[in-house]
Amino acid sequence: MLALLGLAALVASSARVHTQTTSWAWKPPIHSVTQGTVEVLHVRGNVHMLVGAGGNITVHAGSDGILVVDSGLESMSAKVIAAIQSISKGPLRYVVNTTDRDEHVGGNSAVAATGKTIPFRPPEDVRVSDGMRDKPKASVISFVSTLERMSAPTGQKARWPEDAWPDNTYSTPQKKLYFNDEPVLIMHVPGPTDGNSIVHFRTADVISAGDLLDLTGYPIVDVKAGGSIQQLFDGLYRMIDLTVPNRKSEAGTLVIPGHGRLADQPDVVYYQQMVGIVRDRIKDMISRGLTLQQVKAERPTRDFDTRYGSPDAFVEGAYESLKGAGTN
Amino acid sequence: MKRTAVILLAAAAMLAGVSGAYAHHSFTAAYDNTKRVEVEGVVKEFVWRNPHSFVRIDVTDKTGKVETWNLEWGSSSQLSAAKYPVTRTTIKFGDKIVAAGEPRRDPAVKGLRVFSIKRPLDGWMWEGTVD
Repeated sequence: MLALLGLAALVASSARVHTQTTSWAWKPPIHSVTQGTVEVLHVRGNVHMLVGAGGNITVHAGSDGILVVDSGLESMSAKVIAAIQSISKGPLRYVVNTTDRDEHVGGNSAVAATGKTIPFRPPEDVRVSDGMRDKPKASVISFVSTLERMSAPTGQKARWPEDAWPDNTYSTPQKKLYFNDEPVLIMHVPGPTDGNSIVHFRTADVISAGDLLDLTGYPIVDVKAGGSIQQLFDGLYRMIDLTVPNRKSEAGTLVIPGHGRLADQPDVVYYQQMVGIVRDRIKDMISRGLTLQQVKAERPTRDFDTRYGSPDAFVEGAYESLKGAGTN
Repeated sequence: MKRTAVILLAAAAMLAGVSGAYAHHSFTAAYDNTKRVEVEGVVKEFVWRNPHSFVRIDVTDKTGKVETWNLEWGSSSQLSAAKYPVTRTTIKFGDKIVAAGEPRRDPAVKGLRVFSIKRPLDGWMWEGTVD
């Protein structure tokens, strides 16, 4: 599939040679989803990808039910639910949040409400309760600091209503599930924030990367949320470790990014190298005593801007995190 | 003789099943039931689950040193069916709470088997024994 995509890009770029000779056709034209619609792409095995709801959503469906990674924008919930149900009519059991950003958690309330947790006891067992807890809904999993940012202490106003909060947090390096006859590893891999998770579906060999990988633009390093460019670089290294390319560096382990098209290991490697190069340039500029404005004027991302667009937020976050880390 | 042994084995299996249903591990092995400790701290995590829930709190001592305590509580099934039901969002991140219970036998491990939790801000309180 990636080879086909590459071929399509090649065809498109060669067609452009006659009309556009001044710019390097680096950014390949790829199919984009019509605004306001959600498209379903079968990735491999039990794993599907929903595109068009804000952040990408991963759907893992099988005999135990459904697990989704992220829930998209709140405004797209109805279409996300319809897309999930077009893949499987089974019960939604889990929603995993890879981060707390609106385009990844906005649908939590509506999407989780369509499901229910796996009962602790069979229905015929009347002891204490059925173990379904207080409200029938799918269990929402996240790293603990994601809940921290979405909720608020008693008496204070939270960013999201309680129904949207993760209720199944973890604060260990990883949380493991065995679901639909497949090991599902939810791993804490901080990067743009301190609470990012990635999800590895081990049988299908697909990784849902959340915002550690954004093929539509530069990463947003949110220093206030504990993010840093170094952490992001290390997190991408971790993903490179987990992925195995097939022949000619095509396909193999597939990676569903937080935004953009389906990817594989070389996409992650390229992205990580971009992050590393920009990091080193900004580090050097800080060591020469340059202010943020001066760093921006030096354009440390200039050779990547054609591919990733406006670099301002990325450079600001990278500068702030490197300055805060004591780069001199 | 053989039949008696089978009956005894069956009875033992039944008893093991019963104890398994009501206490899936020994609290007295981990917690000192001759002592009671009260700690006040800020909630860092509420793990709401079966077979036991946990509340992780940061406790600051008189010198300003912060230690994390793990409070072992009931299962989500038990807590949601309790006289004063607890839900997944009753305890929130950042809440200041006061908890009392049996401390861990190893003083280096900061933890309690919880018998009561209070939240002074709004007067919410839970008391009980969980297994």
